[in-house]
Amino acid sequence: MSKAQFQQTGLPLLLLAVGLVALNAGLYTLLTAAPVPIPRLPLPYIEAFDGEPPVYRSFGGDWDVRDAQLVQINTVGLDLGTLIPVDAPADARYTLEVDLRHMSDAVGGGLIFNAQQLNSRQQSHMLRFNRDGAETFLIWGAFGDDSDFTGQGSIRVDIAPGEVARLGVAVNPETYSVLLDGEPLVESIPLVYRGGAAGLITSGSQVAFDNVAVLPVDGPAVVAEVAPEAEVAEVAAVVEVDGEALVYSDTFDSAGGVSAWTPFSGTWVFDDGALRQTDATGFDFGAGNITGLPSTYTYSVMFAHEQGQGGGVLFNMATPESKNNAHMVRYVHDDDFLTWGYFDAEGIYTGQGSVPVPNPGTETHTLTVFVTPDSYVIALDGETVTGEIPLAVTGNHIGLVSAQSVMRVARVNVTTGATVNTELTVEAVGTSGVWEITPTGTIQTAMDATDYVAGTGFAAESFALDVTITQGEGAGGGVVFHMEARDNPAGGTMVRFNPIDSVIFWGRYDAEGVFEGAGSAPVVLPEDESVDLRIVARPALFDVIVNGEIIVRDIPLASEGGWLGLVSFSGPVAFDELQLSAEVSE
Amino acid sequence: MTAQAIRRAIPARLNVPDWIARPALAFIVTRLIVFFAAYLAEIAIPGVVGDGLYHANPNNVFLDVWARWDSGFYLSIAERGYFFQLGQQSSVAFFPMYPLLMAALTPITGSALAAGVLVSNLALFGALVFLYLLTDLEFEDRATATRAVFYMAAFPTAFFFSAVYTESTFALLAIATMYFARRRLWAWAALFGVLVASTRIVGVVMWGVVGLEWLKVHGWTLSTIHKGSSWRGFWQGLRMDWHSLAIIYLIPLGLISYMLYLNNTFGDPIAFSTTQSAWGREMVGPFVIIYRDLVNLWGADVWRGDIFYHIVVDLAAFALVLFAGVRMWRRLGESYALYSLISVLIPISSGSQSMTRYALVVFPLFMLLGWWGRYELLDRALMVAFSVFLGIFTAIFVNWIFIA
Repeated sequence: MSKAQFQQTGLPLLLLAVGLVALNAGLYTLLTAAPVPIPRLPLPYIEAFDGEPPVYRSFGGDWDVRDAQLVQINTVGLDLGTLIPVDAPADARYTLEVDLRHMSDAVGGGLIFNAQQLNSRQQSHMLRFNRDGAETFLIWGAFGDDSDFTGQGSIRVDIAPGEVARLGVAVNPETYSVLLDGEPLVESIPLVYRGGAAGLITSGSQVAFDNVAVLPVDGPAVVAEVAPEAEVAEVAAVVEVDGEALVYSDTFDSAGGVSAWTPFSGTWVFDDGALRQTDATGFDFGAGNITGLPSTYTYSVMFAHEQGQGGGVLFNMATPESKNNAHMVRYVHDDDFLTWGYFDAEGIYTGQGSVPVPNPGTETHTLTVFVTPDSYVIALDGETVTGEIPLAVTGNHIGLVSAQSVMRVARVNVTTGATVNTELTVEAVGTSGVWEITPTGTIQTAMDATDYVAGTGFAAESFALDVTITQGEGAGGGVVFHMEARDNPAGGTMVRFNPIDSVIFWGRYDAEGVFEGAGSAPVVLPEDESVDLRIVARPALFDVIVNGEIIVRDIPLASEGGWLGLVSFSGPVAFDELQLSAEVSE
Repeated sequence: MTAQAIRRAIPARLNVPDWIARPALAFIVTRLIVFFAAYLAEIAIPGVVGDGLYHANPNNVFLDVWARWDSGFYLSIAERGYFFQLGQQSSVAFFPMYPLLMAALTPITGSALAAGVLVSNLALFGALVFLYLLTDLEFEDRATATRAVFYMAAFPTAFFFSAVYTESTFALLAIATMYFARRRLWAWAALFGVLVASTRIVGVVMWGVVGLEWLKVHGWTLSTIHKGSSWRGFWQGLRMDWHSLAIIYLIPLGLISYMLYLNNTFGDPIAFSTTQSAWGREMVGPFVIIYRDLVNLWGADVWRGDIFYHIVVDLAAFALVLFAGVRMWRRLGESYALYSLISVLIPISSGSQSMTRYALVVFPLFMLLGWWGRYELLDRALMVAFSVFLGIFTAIFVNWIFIA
């Protein structure tokens, strides 16, 4: 090589090589963070995430302790992990187990063990769930020096989204076994790395972890040093709400139950102390809650509409991942009604009733459902709006629902018990007569010989209506149902006492409000005593029961539904203890 | 004694060649302006305070003023090494060459801040020298070259050349790469190309620029791509001069070295890209960005000062480079033009913010301005405008008000 060639080519290439070496050397020395000494934790190690959040070393993902669980919520990226700095010796025999629950359909949670590094997945073993098509597998293997995963095997498993699984490994000096729910699935898998740290990992999924336990199996028991300030925790006092024990509560703040909600349709966003459903383009977008509930409970939700007016609740859900086999109560999206019913196993909805309510606007309202093993009652903003409605499905999960609206849920409470005042507050609005609200009910006091009708403000299709009527001399009380308007008897069916003739009679008002009788039956009424009237309306038929005695059954009913009202012939007639139930068989 | 006479006299007395003396003069004059302006602005004007508005060395204002905004990342890398956490603004977004030089010099200077300021200013001087040489090579006119270095050193955002930023290092390496490529010294171009490719992500563009120069030597250009002779020249060049092309292909090693490091350390070879989402930058294209900016300016009330001033200056800088880029193609050639356009089109695809800083390293712009500055009035107007705005923007920058 000539001098010119050296100057033009040799020298710069030499400098280039030196530069590259210097660059790479500098990267791995001067520009690589010095390892920070990390205190290692001895075995046994147990963590239930219900105290001070532990200090783990995460290498990807968003890890947070919420609701006494460690949750990773970032679904972008594979193998996002956090390392637990336990120090399992190379010849240790131990088990590592953790409860994990996938918070959506995406499945990818798992654990790391025998990790040689405390800041990456390099040189560690991994066991996690994996979805391949429609099937779920457990896969296991090891990450190498370059963080590439080398699989050692897989096995198909059945795990439903939202189901809690206890995943684990039993580690020996040379091999390990895969555990699921305490049972070994695969045994004697050769170890690549021996001893080291443990960890948790997720891949493209949101996972909640709980009850981590790294326990030695053989040898002398390793007694964990108990910190001087550690004490046996007192049993937490039962939190009560309105005298009932609190089963579940969520205010959706940073310490709230992010991990308990499983959206299955719509767009649900945790937003600064609230849970919002933001997709206003569809019907019955739902999110279920994984908390299992007793058969008797009170479910109360405080929410507001930001757009539309179709928000509501699901309850008695069979699973938190679907509205199939679940009851629903929500605002009607395009009218000022509250409606209720249930979805069957195929997701077909059957309505059980509705009631007109004030337009919800954007104000906050509280919708409450009182659930017993057989029935439920609905209250809105503290006021009961229904009687007992029979249950059609009997699951034990609750949820939220939104139709054609954007709703913002601020609080959810579930308490034991279902104490509810099923006595309806009747704000009788009469087009005639003098109607007054009394401490026990309603009284009409006009005394002209005519029918005075007042609407109760409730509408129903099939129902059972009970009312205690106290009639003055010559006056006759009764009910009108399936009216076309709130306080206009037109189209409605009337059942009323005629004490003068000692009969109870019934008939129908035509569209012009002209009554046409259809039948009557004798009934003996004691003087100066109240009488209990019960009307049971079913599709196309209704029954009349007085003082618990069936007077007439299966009277043909031409109407399908409508407003309920009270009727008073002359006066005074008092109506007390008005109760409305849906399709109660007597 | 005229200024010209002074300029001629000083190098003659000092026996310093023009290609050192004139860049040195530009360096000294402009650095005096920015250092004085920075110091005065910091002590005289109450700056913005708040969380995250750090002071790297509150006991030394002369140094402290040169560490603002992204400087923190470079200081962090030099002092503690790289950090990468998915979803968080991580230091892996910043390429290693500059912080590596800082880390290497820290034992000598006593602090990473001092090392950063030293590296930046030394690199600026080197960049001005190479710019002078390159401009003289292209225009064969020392006056043009002199004006070019002055314009670059006095550009309104030229304070970044002294700050703990990569601008001056990148400018030095990019200009040197181009200079040697134009001199057909491919190995020297590759040397500086490797280094510039490890300085910024856009540095790897120099690979293409040098490659275009190699093609040009062998008769192939973008404007003659349709000609058969162009391709015949290309194939002949491959047969006869493949070793030069092979040397040019070493340039991406600077980027590859960093990617290998990221892969080995963090398991993500493009972590510098992965972490960009944490800054909220979204690649939507220049037209969308410009449209958004114009919409934001539409309702401005200039008389009341209710205007996004940084959008105005950023779009102005973009427009200047765009206009000059077209002219560059004709006057300097396609490699200069493509380098200039890519240098601004890539950043503006995700936002026009900091365009005045990206324009700072579009060295062909200053070469062209140097040529246009042969008209005395334009020369004086540019120097006055640049110097005034350099002082203003320096004062804004050191007081923690974002300018670029």
